Amino acid sequence: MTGEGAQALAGLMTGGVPRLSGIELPPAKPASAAARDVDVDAFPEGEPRFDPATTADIQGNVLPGFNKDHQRFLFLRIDDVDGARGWLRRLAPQLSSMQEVLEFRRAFRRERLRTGASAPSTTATWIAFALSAGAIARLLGEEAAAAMGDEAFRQGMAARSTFLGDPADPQAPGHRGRWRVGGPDSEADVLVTVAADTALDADEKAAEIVEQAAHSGVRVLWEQVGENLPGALGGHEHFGFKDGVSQPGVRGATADGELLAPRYLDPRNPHARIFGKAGQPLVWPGQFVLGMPRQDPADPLVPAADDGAFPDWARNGSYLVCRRLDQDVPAFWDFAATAGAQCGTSPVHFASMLVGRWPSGAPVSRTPDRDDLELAGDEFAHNHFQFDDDTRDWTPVGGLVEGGYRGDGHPKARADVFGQTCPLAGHIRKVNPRDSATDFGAPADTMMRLMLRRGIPYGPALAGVADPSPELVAAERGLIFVAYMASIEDQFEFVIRRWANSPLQPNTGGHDPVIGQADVYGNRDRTLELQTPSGEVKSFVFDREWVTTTGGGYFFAPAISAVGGTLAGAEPA
Amino acid sequence: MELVRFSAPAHIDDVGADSDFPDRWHDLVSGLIAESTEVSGRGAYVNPVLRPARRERSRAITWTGLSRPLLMQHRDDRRTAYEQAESREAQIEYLEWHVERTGGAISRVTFSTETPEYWTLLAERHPDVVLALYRRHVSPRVARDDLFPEGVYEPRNVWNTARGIMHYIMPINSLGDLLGVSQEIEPSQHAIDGYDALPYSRATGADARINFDLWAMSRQGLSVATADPPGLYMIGWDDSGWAKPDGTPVDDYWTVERGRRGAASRVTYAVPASEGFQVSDIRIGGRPIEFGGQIAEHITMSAHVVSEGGA
Repeated sequence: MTGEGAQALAGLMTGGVPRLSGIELPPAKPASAAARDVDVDAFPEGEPRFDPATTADIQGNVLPGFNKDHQRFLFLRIDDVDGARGWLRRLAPQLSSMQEVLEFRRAFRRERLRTGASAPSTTATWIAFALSAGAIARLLGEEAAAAMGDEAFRQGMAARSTFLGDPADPQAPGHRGRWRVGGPDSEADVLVTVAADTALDADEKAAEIVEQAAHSGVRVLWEQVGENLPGALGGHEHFGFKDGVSQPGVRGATADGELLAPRYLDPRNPHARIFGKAGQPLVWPGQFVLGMPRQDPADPLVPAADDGAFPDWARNGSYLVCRRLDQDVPAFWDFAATAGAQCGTSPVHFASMLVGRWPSGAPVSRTPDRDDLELAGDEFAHNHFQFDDDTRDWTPVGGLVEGGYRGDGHPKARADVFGQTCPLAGHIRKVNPRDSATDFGAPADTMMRLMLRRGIPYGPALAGVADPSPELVAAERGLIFVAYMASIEDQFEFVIRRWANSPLQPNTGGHDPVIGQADVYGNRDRTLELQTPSGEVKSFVFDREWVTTTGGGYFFAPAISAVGGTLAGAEPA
Repeated sequence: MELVRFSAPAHIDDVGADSDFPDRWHDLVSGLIAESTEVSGRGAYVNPVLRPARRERSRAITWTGLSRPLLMQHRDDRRTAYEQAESREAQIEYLEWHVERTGGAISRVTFSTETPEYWTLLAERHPDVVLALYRRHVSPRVARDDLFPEGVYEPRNVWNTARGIMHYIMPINSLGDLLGVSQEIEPSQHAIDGYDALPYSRATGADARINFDLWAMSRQGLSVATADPPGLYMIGWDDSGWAKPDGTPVDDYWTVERGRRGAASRVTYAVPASEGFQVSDIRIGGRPIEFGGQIAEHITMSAHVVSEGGA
């Protein structure tokens, strides 16, 4: 790669984002008591309590998520079913629970806000487990696999590949037949995730698990290393942009009264009923954990009337989508440079419009003309924006102000109905239209589409590297996309097929320029329309793809008790 | 700036020159747009026939052809949603369809976005044209009495219900309904953004889309008018990931019978005989097509507005 694109890429994130510090979060109070403190009606009634047995049973990567810098993904095949059952009995006690991870994350959240630290001062190595529909069939029988409510899960990712936009042409790089893992002949039965604070810890624990599995007739099909990018690029994906900024807040509280998603908006703000942090929508936990109250299609304040369809042993489990996505970083930045020049703007500005955020994570909706590191570093503000209307001021809860937060004084987002600031097809607007209506309804519908994303990059960083060697440029790199949800079809597949891959939905204006795919009778060209402030529309056609699927799978992450119990051959209680 | 003269949907000319039909159609559509109603509030929704508009910006309002209420009602059993959507009574997203089966297998599905207002007026002014169009598009066996029992056009005639489709029959699907929902432009509940307007009680994707989009434009001080020609269209479809029985991707089996690609009002989906298989043999994401609704789910609908003013 040459020219302005290469220069822009090399110059990304040379300085760090100034993180908030000096903030002491108020002590947790029972949710109901917190509500009574201010206004008895301030919080919706009926949010579920996660009792100790439940928090000990839900896997910790589902809630609240590992979020570790060093992860190993072990894609395994069961050769010996009886041996595998024994292995599951031995593995179950090693799995990390929601309770274990929650305690660590809570402590780190306080530490982070107090000191501005980007890494915890204590360490932990965690393990998560998931299995495919094929594995359920082998362990429990075809009838049990058929009882899983999600049809896409039962089919598997390889069978749904072209539906997700992957190439139908067997010669194309992203065709399922060429995947590293998860293709028709390489589907994994089991996915074990190891997450640690050092690469060595992750490697050692992964090796230990592989050895234990091998003794039980469970072998490695593919081992994938996931590593957070170094230095100021920590938390960014390979194109150079901060990733995972926007995650839904999960409704509910633990038995000791601590909310899973703390409420930081003054309860007198009507939006405090549907947001945890400003801009972080509160979603009912059943959207991610089977058996919990799930989202109502019309009203975000009340749960749906029923909990969904699943066999009893699957309660407290979650579907897991894993996609190995290769990223062609030079191609992305070459395009940004060329197209940016056509629009009279810089590669970084143009690329940020494609993403909807600046490399730092600051949303273009709040800072249209330049990156804003102060905004990016303010975790209470950097996700607070809407698309259709001016975004309002918000008042933090008293405890946050008393703890030292000075308030969100950053520039506010302005109404952008026609996509003049953040293009209608901009990545973050495509996959989360926020306050806007969509082709499927009101913003309440969009809340049903959100997922808990747990991805991590793989491969060496090219962003921020001056004069990279040809070998470094050519090295394989990408993102292990991992997300948990209650319905693969209504969440992951919906967002990918109906929005990212569509030039018409949720708005006209082109395909998602980052992750979207098109396959119109073999033509994989994608389109993008950008509106200038004068209303002029500029159209682009992408004849290159910079994200290519190279593996993955649809899995189910059961409750820990089900791993060592039903799946390991125990009689149902 | 000039006043609009409403054209026929998709600019289709069914009557030729020397007919008063275009004038009558223009008057009919204009009459469906009330300048002020209980829900039109400050009059932000305007009749471009009466008020000149600069039409600075156009917007396609899009939604999905399959009934969202059914998909929500059967969140855990999509097949039941498809099955129930086979009834015209459940086709309430401004897209109706008719499935033809041969030996139990689906041989053709016909989709229509044409309005009863258009066909009733056409039948009143040009009954011979209506008969000819039915014979061309639905069946050569259509008899005049089938369409005009006792001399008056029957929208729910057998060729537009049990034996075929020409235009909408559901009361909720009409040009009057589209324009009526569009006129509900005063944001509800004093909402100052989309979140404030929740909960939103209507279940269809179409209503929500039209309401929320126009409310947002209204809040920006924009006045909104229907684009010309007013109407409902199939703006596109997505048959990627659809496979022939041998697993290879389908070819383009869509035929636009009225309108054009990007603004179609009558479309058929059928596999050419030379292919040697039927629509039922196609798999969408690995699942065989059993119902027309499985195709409707991948059709994007649109209505179009223009706006002016604002900050």
